[in-house]
Amino acid sequence: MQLLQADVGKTLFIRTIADPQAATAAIRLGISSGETVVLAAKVPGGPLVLQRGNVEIALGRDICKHIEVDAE
Amino acid sequence: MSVYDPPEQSVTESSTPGEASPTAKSSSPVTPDTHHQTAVLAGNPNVGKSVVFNALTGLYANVSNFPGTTVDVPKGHLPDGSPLNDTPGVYGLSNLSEEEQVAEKTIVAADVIVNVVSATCLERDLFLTQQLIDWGKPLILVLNQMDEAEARNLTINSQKLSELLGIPVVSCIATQGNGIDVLKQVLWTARPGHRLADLPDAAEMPALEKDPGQCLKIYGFRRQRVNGIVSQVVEQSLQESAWTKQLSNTVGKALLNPIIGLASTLLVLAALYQVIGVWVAGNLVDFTEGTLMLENVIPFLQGLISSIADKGTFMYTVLAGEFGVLTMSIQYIFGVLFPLVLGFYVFMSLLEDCGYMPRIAVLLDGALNKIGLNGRAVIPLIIGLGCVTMATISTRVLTSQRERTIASTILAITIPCSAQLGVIMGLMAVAGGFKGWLVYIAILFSILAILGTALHKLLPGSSTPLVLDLPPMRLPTLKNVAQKTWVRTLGFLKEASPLFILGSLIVALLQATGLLAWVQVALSPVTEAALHLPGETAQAFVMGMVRRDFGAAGLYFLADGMTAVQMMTALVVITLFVPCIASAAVIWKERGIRETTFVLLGSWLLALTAGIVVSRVLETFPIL
Repeated sequence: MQLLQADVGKTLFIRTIADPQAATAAIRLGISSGETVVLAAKVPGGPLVLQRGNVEIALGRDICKHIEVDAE
Repeated sequence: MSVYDPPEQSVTESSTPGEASPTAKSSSPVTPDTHHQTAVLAGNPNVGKSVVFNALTGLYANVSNFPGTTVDVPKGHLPDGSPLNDTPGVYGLSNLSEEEQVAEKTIVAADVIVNVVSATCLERDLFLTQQLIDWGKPLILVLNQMDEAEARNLTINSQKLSELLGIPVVSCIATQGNGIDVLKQVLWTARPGHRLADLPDAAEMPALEKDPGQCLKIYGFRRQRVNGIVSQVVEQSLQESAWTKQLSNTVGKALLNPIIGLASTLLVLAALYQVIGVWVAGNLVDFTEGTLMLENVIPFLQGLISSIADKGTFMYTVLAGEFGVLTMSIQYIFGVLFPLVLGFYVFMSLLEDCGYMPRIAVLLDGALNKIGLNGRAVIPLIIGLGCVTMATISTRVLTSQRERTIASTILAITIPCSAQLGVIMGLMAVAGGFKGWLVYIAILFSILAILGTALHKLLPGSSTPLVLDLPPMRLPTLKNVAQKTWVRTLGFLKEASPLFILGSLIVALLQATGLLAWVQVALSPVTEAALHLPGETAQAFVMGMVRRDFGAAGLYFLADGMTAVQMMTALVVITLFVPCIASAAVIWKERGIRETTFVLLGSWLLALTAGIVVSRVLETFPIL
């Protein structure tokens, strides 16, 4: 499913990031296919907050809409 | 291997970055003849790169309180005379933006790279580091923001980090100048680090990474390696109790809820108004400007000047007249700006230090996207309510030139500064009181939205999506806040004072030559015919150029004879009308002459158009 459709609090396995540019941008920040993250928060109409270990990163929707995930 | 060894325990633990002397294990520095070598600073956005640049070069023109990017690559010289070039802050060299292209070009041409990373975000920052290593560049790593890392209970084994990367590592708190001396000493021990296995020749890397298929493969390996390094060198000690952590988490999450977040923002703005608008801009400035400056310092200066040039002469008017360059800049810089900026930075540092600011940036990101900005722009926009000049400088936190153009235009035209808001508050009684405020806010907000959307549509390119690391919520530490405030206030005053003096000089010359009066007279038919306002209001509008609050204050004398509609029209026009001369000077410096001209002419046109519309609409629909 799309990351945007995932529920807050769920642990997610990142399957693919479809858009190469978004994939490039995301991988540099530590978000890449094969990683496991927790969807910590979703701001309506705004960014998503992903948690990896102790680090929380907010990512704008423009990046998030290209990210496909599986619920763990 | 030439490695800067941290002291026996890691530098974070000793919390005295840069104190230890380097112990070069072997010596293969880049070259003994350093004078023809060019060093380049590289790093992610907002890691303190500009602060390091300024500390290394002593170049004062580029001091930044909110270090961000600089597309025009500032250049300076190291103490040994070698050139040092800055680059825009980027997360990697992937050709994703104009900034990345500029950074890549500068880096490829460099002999040595000084890579600044934030000790709080190594997982993110070391990606660029590994990329630079893979590209075969001699590198030295500056582990900056060690104080922030300590505040977040992060311990970093910099010796291990240095071993794993194969390059020297210097720990540093650049804002306090900690570690800079060591960096100056060991900078030329930079060396090529450990590249990923099985890569082709370093010289082929930039081209290879332009190939989309190859790029993601290499990026994947690079990411794995960085994650591996971080897991070995970063430790987070859980000093706080489970209860504190839970509370920090709950508050952090709550602030991202739109209703709670918005309510908290309104509370913060109300507090900001009370502290900055009422206590600082009102009570404190009354004392510093009124009592200290106008009653004591200025008369003393005028006496001094009159012993050189007689009152009424051109020389006296320019130096110490009503808008004399000497008297007005001293009165303004020390009487108004210093207390205002100090108060404002205390407030901002508190909000930042407790982790509130980034969350508001996240919350407002969606709305700001519509005008071509991202969440980061809340910082300059909030600062704008304090001082537009200060805010224009802070647009450096924005990642692209496009965003900086949009933000500084919006700031210059639609955001009233605290000095102006104070006077407007007094005049609003004439323009309908509370109802007047609602109308005023609605009008300005619509203009902001229209202007932002138009710029977003018209400017080429697109806005950069938000990427923000969210630090845990915590109680601010007094030491951090005091230190940040002081460094920023001094930085701002050092940077802005010459511009204020320049601005004052222009105004003084305009007045002494009679041009100021001429413009006021020439404008009055326009205000009468187009805006249905008394001709004298033209004077107030022009004074708004000198200082935003002068303009608004000028309306006080006319308030008695004005209707609510007229006052509302005048207040809208005076808010939109040209930014004060100091902000214009800062826009010029930051954004160039073309954008400054655009902002000045645009604000004229917009103020006039909005004034005409507001007066006609409110005359037709008398809601005030």
